[in-house]
Amino acid sequence: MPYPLKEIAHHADSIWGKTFELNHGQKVLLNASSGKGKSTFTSITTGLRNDYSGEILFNDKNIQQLSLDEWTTIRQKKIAVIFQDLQLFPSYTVRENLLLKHALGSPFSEMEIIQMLERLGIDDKWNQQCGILSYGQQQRVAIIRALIQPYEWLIMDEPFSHLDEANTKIALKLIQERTDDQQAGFILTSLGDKYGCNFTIELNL
Amino acid sequence: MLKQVLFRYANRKQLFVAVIGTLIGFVFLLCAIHYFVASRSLGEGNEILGGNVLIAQRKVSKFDALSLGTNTFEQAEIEKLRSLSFVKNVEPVINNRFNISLGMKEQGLPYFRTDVFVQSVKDELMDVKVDSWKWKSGDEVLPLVMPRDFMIMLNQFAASYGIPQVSEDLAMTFNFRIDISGNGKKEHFNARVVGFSNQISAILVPIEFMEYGNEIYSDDEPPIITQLMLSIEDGAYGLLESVMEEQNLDIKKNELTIAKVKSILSAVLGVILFVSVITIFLSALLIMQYTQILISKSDYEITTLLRIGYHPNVLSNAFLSYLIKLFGILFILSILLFGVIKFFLDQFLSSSGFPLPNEFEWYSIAILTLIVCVIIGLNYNTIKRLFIQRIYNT
Repeated sequence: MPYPLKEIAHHADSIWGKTFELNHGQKVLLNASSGKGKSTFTSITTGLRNDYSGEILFNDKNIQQLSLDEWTTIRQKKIAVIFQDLQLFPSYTVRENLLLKHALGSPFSEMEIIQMLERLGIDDKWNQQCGILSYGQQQRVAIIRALIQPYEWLIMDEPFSHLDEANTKIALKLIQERTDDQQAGFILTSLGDKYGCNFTIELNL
Repeated sequence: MLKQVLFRYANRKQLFVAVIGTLIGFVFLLCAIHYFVASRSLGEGNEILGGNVLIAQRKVSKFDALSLGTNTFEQAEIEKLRSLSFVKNVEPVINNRFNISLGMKEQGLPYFRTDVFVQSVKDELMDVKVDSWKWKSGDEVLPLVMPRDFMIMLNQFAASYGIPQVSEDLAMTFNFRIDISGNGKKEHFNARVVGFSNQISAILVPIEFMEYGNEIYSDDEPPIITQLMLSIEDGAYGLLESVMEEQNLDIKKNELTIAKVKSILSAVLGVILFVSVITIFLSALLIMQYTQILISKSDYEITTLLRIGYHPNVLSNAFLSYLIKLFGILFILSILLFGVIKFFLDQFLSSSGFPLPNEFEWYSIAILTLIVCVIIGLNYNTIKRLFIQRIYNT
């Protein structure tokens, strides 16, 4: 239970304060209305926050006991994240933003990355500053950045909030292909929309 | 690319000010340490600027003229001087208690013979180092050390009478005759000058000869000590002055001047060293502040890099390599600048009568290296800590 959410009344089926397990390869939908802790969930599970009670195990190890080195390896190779606030570098181009991530270890070449951008309709933005793209275009860059790293879990915090239906479908297809290629799983936080996707589990906050 | 992101907000003006301050501090430090160490050896082996050895005697007062004063030193007074913290050694100057005359019969020079008085001091306190400064009864030649002032006076006398002047080297080739007498006995010796002293105003003889002469050719009166040789620590001129006042001592003016100069030099260099340390400290603080401001301005970039999987060590190593380059350049520049300053300063000091050793004092570079490593180390640790904190920023 995150400390800031302790005093809030949660639904009976909320996962906060409960024990649950997510297994390798599952596709998880995390439903929650605004302010119920979707971003908090993302931050806690990726080791960016530790203001909670209870225990979270990743591969049977308590994440609060993971060292800096272990967390770095997890962020580089095991858990990819699409942040709700994107966390891009607005002063740098799409190319520079993606290559910064690519430098940490990616199975894709620059050409393959451009092809992924092409599928999402923003390959022409390769040399443009991220800061001048629309929010929806930036979201697509953030999606590609997460997909170009190896992962066992992809955590997506409202990744399609500024995409239209068509682009959402294309993005989701790309995500599913990439996830299935690695036999990985993903967790998608949403305000309630399922985006036409088949999820293994649906959880609520 | 990573360095481009991390140093995006680098403020060159601020960095320039910090760098100039650090460079000045480094150069001051190198100069201060180098000249501090070099000045310690000032005059070593040099007869003119000898080690801190002085000759003290009682001040002559009106009471002395009336034979009411005392111009001698008692053993207790000698021990008291020896016990002073800045005094390394005190030895009495031994005078002859027998009659002694010096004569010369050298072709081309007028014959002369004159009564003289001689003195002996401990070998280690002599400002002249002579290989053959030993004597025993039966030796063919008695070595003598002449006061340099005597040679100057002799040459002035010669010049006024149109007699050729005598160089020190030439004087050392003359054959002298020493006649000693007392207690109803007499003896003569061949003698030769083996060196010249700036310290003593009398002719010096080896202590073995003095003891021989005083034992055989003098009465049994106890020896009278009227002069002392003092060896003092560097930079102790101020302390010496107060002791001179207290014990009514008189010291040769040029010896005092040398002691004073060395003291002042030590003090000045000490101040420069202090100032340089303060300058370096402040400049290092400026650079530390500069890097912290840089990190603070790049807060979003650093947090994002950490969140997408960069290890804090990778980011802090980028800063480390930046610091190493920065201080490496400063280190080299400061040594080059110091080399230039040293070149001109050494020439100036040498022409002013302070010949210092030409070599680099490696202490200064070693200390500078240590300081640079400490500054880089402190900066690196601070940066690393800041990066680790950034991971948990919300």
